[in-house]
Amino acid sequence: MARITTTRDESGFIREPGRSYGAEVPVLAPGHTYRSVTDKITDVVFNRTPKGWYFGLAVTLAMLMLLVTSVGYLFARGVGIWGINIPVSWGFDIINFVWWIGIGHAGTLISAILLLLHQEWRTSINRLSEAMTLFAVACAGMFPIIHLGRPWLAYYLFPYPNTMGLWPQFRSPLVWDVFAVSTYGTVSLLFWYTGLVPDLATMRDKTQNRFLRMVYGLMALGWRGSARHWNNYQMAYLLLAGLSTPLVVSVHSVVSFDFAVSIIPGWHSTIFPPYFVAGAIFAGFAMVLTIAIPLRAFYKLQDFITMRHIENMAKVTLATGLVVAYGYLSEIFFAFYSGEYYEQYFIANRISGPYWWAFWALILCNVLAPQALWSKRVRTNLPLLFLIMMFVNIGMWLERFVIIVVSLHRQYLQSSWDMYAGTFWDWSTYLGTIGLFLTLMFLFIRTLPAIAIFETRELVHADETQPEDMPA
Amino acid sequence: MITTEYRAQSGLRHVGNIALVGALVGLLLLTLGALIDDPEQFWRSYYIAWLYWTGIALGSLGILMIQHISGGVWGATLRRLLESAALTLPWMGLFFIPVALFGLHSIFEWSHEGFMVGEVLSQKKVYLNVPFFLARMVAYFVIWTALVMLLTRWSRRLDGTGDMRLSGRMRGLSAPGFVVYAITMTLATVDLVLSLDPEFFSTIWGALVTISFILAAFSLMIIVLSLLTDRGPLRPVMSSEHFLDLGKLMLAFTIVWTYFSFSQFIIIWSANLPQEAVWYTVRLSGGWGWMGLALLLFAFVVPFLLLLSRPLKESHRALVIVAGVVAFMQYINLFYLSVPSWHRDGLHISWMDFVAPIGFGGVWLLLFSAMLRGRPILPLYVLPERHPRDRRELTHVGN
Amino acid sequence: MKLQTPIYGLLAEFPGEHELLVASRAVRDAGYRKIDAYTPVPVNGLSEALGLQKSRVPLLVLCGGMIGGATGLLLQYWSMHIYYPLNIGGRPTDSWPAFIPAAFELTILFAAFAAVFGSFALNQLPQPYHPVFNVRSFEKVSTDGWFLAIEASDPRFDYGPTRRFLESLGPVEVSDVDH
Repeated sequence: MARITTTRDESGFIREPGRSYGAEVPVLAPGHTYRSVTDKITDVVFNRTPKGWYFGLAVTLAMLMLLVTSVGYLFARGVGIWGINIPVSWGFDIINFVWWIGIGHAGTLISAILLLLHQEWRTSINRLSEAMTLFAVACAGMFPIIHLGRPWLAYYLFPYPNTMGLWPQFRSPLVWDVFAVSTYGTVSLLFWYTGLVPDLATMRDKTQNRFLRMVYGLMALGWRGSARHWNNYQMAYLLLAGLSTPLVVSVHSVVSFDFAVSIIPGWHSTIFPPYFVAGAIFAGFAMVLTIAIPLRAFYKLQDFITMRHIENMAKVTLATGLVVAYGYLSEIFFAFYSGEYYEQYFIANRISGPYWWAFWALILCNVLAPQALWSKRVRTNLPLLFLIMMFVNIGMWLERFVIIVVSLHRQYLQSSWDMYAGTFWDWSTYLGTIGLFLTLMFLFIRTLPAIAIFETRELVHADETQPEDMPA
Repeated sequence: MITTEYRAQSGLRHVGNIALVGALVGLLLLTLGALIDDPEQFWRSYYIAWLYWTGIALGSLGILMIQHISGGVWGATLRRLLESAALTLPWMGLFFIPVALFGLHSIFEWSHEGFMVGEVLSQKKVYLNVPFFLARMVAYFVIWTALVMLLTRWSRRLDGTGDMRLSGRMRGLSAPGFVVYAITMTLATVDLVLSLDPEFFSTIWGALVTISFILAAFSLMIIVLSLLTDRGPLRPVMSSEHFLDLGKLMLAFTIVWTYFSFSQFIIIWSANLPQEAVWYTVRLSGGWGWMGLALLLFAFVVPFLLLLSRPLKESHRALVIVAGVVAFMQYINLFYLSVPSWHRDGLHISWMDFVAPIGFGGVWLLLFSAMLRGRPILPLYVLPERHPRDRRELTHVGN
Repeated sequence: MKLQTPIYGLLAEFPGEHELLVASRAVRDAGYRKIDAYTPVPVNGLSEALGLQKSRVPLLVLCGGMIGGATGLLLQYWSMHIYYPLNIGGRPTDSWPAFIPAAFELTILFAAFAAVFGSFALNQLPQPYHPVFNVRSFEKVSTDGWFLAIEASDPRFDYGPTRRFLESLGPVEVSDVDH
């Protein structure tokens, strides 16, 4: 028998010597030092503002104005300006809410779960994706509030002692949603800010401008990299990651409960929680790639966002896309298996009803297009990858359209059947939130380090002192 | 330098003896039960025990493919165990033949001609009928066996030749293989467990039962690994960090199982539709309610709290106790999902429900250790030059 | 503020992480206790070299989580079952399955608050002014500077010998830190 040789890494794990741990393509281009990493990332903020940035901001600001106008008009006139009716009383607003919040989830996933799994490749994209989470949650949180008939009374949703002696109806998933989304927004903000503190100290120390030094200094809270600081800081950051992971799963599960605990065929389905979570991650990774591919080209960040990042994200997109496809199949199979008329009707209506085009477009975008990601050649071809990610972005919007509108427009009674279409104001509000999201993104990139500096320094550090082929 | 023979005998010899006794005594008593007590109960106890141990094999197949896809470092020492566990699948399939021939009517209400009447059930006859059911069972076992055979054969060839392309091939099969696995497992768990109550359905079902099998299989593998570390050949290889990682994964699987179970429960509980809420009404009332509470406590709360502790996960002697509790509670979980469909008016446990899992456990362990015995317990990869920086802790073995 | 010592202490800059670790151990072994190290990245083993306690953040987070979960459950139980019971869809008023999601979210929220604000409090942040910022070269700490400080209030501190001791550890430079 052959000789057996097993190899172990520092932590004592047996490694398979022939197996690549994804280390052939580095997470950081070679040759970087602490200083070069710091300079390269802070330069994005401190260098002269590129013209393209002004142009981009102008476009997104215009879209933001559209949002302000739409919401202003909505407040003046009420939700009648939208296309919603009875029975389709949830339309674009809830579609957009779920779409945005799903996009946010990849950010938390990249920063929290990948940290827990010691996936170093997360480092150069985690800040960006956390910012994405935050802005996406801001867009998402707006929709349920403006969808209230009297949005200025939104505070009724929170439990507080009041003169009427009334409390929120805690058995309603819509109230769970308030708790879930506000917790999610708060924790994401804290996580993002906590991660930023040491980098804000770097910005404070690097800037030549007195005023900026003061602003960054205030935000850095007096961080001085003391061993005591790092000691508590690392523990807190790790625990936050540990808390965010179940949080992100719970948030989209609660979002899915909004539908699933009802009794509407097409909504009442026990697979919804995991299938919504997978869909959220799917949409989120697609959005991170949609942003990261142009960003890395524009700011020449190829040293930090390497092909390895791109490929790994493409793989996650494929895997979660398959889970989503499993969800679709499972709904169809169980409708057939159930032997129940309404269950079978809603599937038939999806496939061949008046909104058949939405269902088939969804299958094309979410099930067929991502299958190209099985091929490594596609995963490393940036324009093609970008195109597929656009398919996914659209597909995930269509998925919510199919779930919400197509399920509602044919209810149990034929007397309450109706068609639904978004009006101008539905579309303008949706476009407007994209404007809000992108405006915040543009501002973020120019004012804060878009890549976590101290964590990238840690990668340099690992490069110097340890074998670079640490297990992934 | 440590030289050891990486073979399982030394660690598993006495386990084999216990398994032999368990198999003989368990199956003998069970057969006695069929002859002198209640043949219907015999088939039901036989079926649940068979399902649990087949589930362990299926769970192992799933973990094996997940490991190939993700390439996690936790997998190298586990791979041979998983392969051996999955290799028991075709043999376990043989034990279904008696059920198919003689036991179907005792187990599946839908197999009775007169039962499938009424608006809903008559529709379901298209899917739930004996010939189609048996054809599906054959198809599942053929597909699973093919997956297991390919993966183990390539792995064995890799041992002999050291041709690392085989490693890539196993990964290449595992990704689409897992898709096939997910689909067949969904259908199979519907056929084997969900259809025990022909009126009930739940779209999360496949995921819910599959994760239970995976969790049970993973816990059992931790127990075996710990045995092989304590008394056997893996002592120089395993470290506390290794068990820490396995403990974390067991915690993760436990959380996922709880999440799936709670999702199904809260959705059905809140919607309160009569045709499906009754499935939980049965399981939450009378003695079944107590079993549900025991599940909540000992399949989730206790293991969850214990597994949060890092020192516990690092000590394999403590971890193995938690793993034992988890594996046992997943048997209770399967029992809780299935048996109330036969006994809707209250808790029903027969003495045969105790001897059957022991008997099948013995059979399964015998098969498992037979599979394990034929091969080195670690994958033999002989390419240290690919990792020049890692030389400081090499373990050389030769014979 | 009344100052008991003429200066805050001494700050030594080291060329790298390894030198800093060695120096920290030496300073600690020499009996100094009021010491701190400043680094651009967290350094493995530095806390042990300086003799720092294990972080107490996990304990805070555990307490925060438990308080959050209890708050969530009690709030819902009290308001739905005791204070203003309403029959909604025939569900029991103490419908515990429906109370789990909100209680879970509050558990996470309170635990996260404990993690962030607890760690800031333990680090005594925000603290906009600190004497070490008076040293010009200290701004390198957030790029590639490795510093070790001994405070003058340490009972073993004695300007001349302490300075010579630090200089013997191979620093790039040793600076006085004004208050």
